[in-house]
Amino acid sequence: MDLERLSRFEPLGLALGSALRLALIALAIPWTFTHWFTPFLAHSWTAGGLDPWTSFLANGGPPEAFPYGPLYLLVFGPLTVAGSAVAGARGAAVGLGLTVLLLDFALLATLRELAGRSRRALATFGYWLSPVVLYVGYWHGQLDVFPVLILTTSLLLLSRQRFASAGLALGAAVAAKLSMAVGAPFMWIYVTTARRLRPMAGRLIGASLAGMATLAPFALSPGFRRMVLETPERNKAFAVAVPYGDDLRLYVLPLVFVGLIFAVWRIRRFNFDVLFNLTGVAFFVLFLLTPASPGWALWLMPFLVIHLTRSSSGIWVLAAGFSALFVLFNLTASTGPLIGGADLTQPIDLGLLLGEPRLRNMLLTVYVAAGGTIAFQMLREGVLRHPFYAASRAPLLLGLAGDSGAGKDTLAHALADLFGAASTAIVSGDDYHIWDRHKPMWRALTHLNPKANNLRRFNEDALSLGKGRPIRAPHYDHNVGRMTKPRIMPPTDVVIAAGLHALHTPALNAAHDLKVFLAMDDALRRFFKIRRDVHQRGHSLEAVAASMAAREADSDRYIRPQIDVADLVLSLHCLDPRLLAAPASFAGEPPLGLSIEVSVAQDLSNLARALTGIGGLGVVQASSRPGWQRLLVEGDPTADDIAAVAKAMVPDMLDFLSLTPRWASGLTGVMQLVILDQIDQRLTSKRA
Amino acid sequence: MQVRRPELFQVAPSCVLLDMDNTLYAYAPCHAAGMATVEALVKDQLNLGDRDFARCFVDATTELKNRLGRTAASHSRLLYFQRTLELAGYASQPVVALQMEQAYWRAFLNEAVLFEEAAEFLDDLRIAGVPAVIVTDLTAQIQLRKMIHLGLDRLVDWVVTSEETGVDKPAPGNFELALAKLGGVEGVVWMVGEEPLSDIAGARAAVDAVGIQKRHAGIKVVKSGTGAPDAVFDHFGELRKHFAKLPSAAA
Repeated sequence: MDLERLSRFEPLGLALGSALRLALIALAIPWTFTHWFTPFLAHSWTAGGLDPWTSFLANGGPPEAFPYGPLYLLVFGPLTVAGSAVAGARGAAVGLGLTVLLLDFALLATLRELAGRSRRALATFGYWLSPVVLYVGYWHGQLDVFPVLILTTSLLLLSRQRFASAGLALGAAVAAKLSMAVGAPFMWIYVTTARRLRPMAGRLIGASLAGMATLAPFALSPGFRRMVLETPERNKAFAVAVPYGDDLRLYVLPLVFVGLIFAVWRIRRFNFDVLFNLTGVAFFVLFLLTPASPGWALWLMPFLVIHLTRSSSGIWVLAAGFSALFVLFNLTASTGPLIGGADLTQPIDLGLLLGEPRLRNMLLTVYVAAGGTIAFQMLREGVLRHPFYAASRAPLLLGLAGDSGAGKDTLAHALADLFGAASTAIVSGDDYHIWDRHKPMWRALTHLNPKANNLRRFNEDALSLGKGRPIRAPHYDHNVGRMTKPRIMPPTDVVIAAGLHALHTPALNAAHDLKVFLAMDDALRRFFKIRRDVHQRGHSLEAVAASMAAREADSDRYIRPQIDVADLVLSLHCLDPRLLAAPASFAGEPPLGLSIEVSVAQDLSNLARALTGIGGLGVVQASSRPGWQRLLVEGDPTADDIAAVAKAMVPDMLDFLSLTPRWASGLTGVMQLVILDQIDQRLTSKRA
Repeated sequence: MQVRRPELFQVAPSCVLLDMDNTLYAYAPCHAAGMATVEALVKDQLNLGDRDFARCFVDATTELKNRLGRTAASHSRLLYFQRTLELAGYASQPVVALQMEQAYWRAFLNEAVLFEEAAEFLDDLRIAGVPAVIVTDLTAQIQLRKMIHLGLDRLVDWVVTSEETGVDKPAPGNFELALAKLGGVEGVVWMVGEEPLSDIAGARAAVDAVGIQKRHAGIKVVKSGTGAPDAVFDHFGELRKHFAKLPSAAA
């Protein structure tokens, strides 16, 4: 069934889930409520003082009653205490149940936001009707919905790039329940390893540590230490172990967990989706490799639900099976409620029921297998086959060739403005000229001649960076016309090889993700050159004309042939050629048009539509070489126009860009767009 | 879908006329986004404050609407902004006025999304072989840009703007031209729009169209009189379902 039709049933799903919840709150009183939570909450709000944990234990309360911090007290207290005042123990249980319902609803709202506009209904079905959620919250009676809500909120904030708030929420989630710390390393690694996010890492990590630190004063309380920090749940991390020699044991969970964190650290480049799915896998691993309490199943739910909203029906069947088995198993293993007159508080003995003691273990095995399958599936579809993951394993390598004065440097820097200076390395052909400016060999050769350039090293350096290895790059100082000491260039996410010969060698061309040739209309180039060299620098017109003629031959021989191997040819021309006739008398900027040429196999129509529709630019299709297509673009868009077109045209590419991409105005902005669009089309084949 | 005159819905239509603004997408959020962007722009470039801008803008709109009457140009944002600048004491300022216009439409379009299932409804019409024509007020330049941005040019073959006819809806010329572009239409004509007077009453008077009103927040549905619709729907899904049930006109 398609999504739109499904979304019409969302109100029905909401109503059904709400009715089930309200019925359970009205009829069922979980054993955990009456024996653990409501006595503690009542105690803490009436006689507990500042340290209810210690006084509760002193009054002979059970230490396992409330393994939670002060935030829990604040949130779960009011309705419980009010209920207790109205209708005693029954009222307290209803008050507590209603609190769970409110938090539950808030978690649903958060998940619907995370799922995105078109998939909200699926989030509602996956969460609000989940047997796991109903069982944990209202039958068995656990309060885990609270920390899970804060952790999910933290992830939502992170997806909106609100780093400080996300960090605070993460800290609060951990302060509420220590096990939420499982999510922390992933979020920390996410903001530290991705170069585009690194500037924000301090905010997120700092805020999360500050949130966690709010717990520190409570550690002074002996009751708090005993009930919260030394909770027996802690030992579950070591419960699954394999014998290691005669008297040693290898703990499985910490081993797998460390492995997972290392894997995430190695990934380095991931976007929010990949982070979310990896965190989900980590929670699944934690859940399946420990004899988990039933409440822990709730930790999985956000990840499972979001995964479901993006999955085929097969996974829904698997998840339904997993949920059913989980509930069935826990009915035989955990406490339940007092419901109406019936006492279902004790685990049901299926063995007795069916005469087979092995049945429970079998049930456990099958449900762990189902959960493991889901986790594996989440890892495969949500991480390993995720488009961003697949497309970003290696740095993006862009080749940018063109004659001198065509604007290679301007364009290379405009691209660095998009990807972020820290994420972009520009290997500039100027740094690979063989001789310093004043050397005699320049009388024999022009810069355009490949022999005048150390192309072998240029290629090796671009390829090394493209493989993610650092290089020692030479550097040519334009001011003094001399090579300076080489400098170390660290690997980056994007490598731009820009130079006269960037598309000259087949080996480098094979590695380029996109090969761009930047040309300029001859008349326009001549105009700029004469205006600069004759009218600004005072050279004679004859000398400039002679040097241009000499270069022209080399340009035809060595530079222009690169057009044949380029994927994209960008060329500027003057819209009013009459202006170019007299470089001396015309001082203004000539009005320019941009020609965009790609193979007919590539799509240009989306670009044309977006530039026309949202950008308001003049776009004309023009004739081209056989097998190629050409667009002519005119107009003077603002940087905001360019940003709006990008958002509409290449939304998937925005994950590759800096957090604050700087869009250029004018035709340079259009070049940014074309290049992103072409990269996007090429990455699609990698993603598929 | 609430059908008020079931006798008019015995067969599928032979063609469907559609209003665009506020019928196929929600106008209010787009306009708000456009105005917010323009306000920021004039504050930045001319140091013209929100309140002064808003006051001059209202005066400019009223003046232009009075002067131009019901014509396409009476909705022109370029004219509104140019006049706003003049009233604010900046003279005509061609560059800024054009910038304001582009900034407005860029932010406007950035916000514009077709109503759910509107595209699917147009696709249903295409598959059923029922021609559709967009009949809309305002100037062609921006209306065609909107169509491209919303992808309507791939779903609808024909468009009539009030710039072509000289007078805004409900003037009959708009609806007549729509049918004339199709080469004349025999059978039932539907008009889908949100305006009781311009769309429903106008199309009914001009080409005897069945009036189907799109309703959402801020839309008034009248009970009687010429602007009363023959059917009302809130979601395009309802209209699709209803359309699917009707026997084809050709059969």
